[in-house]
Amino acid sequence: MRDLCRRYPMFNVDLVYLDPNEKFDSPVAHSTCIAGFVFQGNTVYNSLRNEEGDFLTPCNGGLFEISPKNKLYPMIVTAGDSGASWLCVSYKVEGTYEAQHVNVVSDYTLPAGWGFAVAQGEVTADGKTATQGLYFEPRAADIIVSGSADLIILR
Amino acid sequence: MADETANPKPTIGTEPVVEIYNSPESNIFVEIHNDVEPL
Repeated sequence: MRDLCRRYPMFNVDLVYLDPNEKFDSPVAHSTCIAGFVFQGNTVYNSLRNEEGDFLTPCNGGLFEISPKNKLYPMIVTAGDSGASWLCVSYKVEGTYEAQHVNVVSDYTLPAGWGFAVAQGEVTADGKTATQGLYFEPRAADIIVSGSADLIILR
Repeated sequence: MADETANPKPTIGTEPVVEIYNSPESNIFVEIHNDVEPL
């Protein structure tokens, strides 16, 4: 397991890579996780369950959102046959957060008050270039995001 | 005065790398960049 973690003032942004069939076992609940996006391979989170207690299995192109409905218990993650890679955003300041996945193919209008983390690809916005694993903080007005990328937008 | 150029803080790109956890026996490598400025 390789984890590249960037600690921002409000959030932590982690890029996590697992080898094929690798299992990662963390003894503590990742209760600060807001959402993640799997950009390669697939995972079996035998700790992530929905309200009904069903296990969730995020896969390539899938957003997993941690919420009162989907709770993350002490983490045991197993990668699929081709490994697994994902981006995870977690908060440092307790609060209520909202996250969505956005696939940018050319231009996208980021609403005022929303920031984003780049799961894969590269975009430019407000004169800055955001590459994989970087966090772009919210602006006071809508702005155009240009490029090609999978983003987790959040507020 | 200390010569700071003699022992520069390690960086990856322009970000300071403050913490690295490496556990080869458990195949875990964690690289933490602290105090990163948002874009």
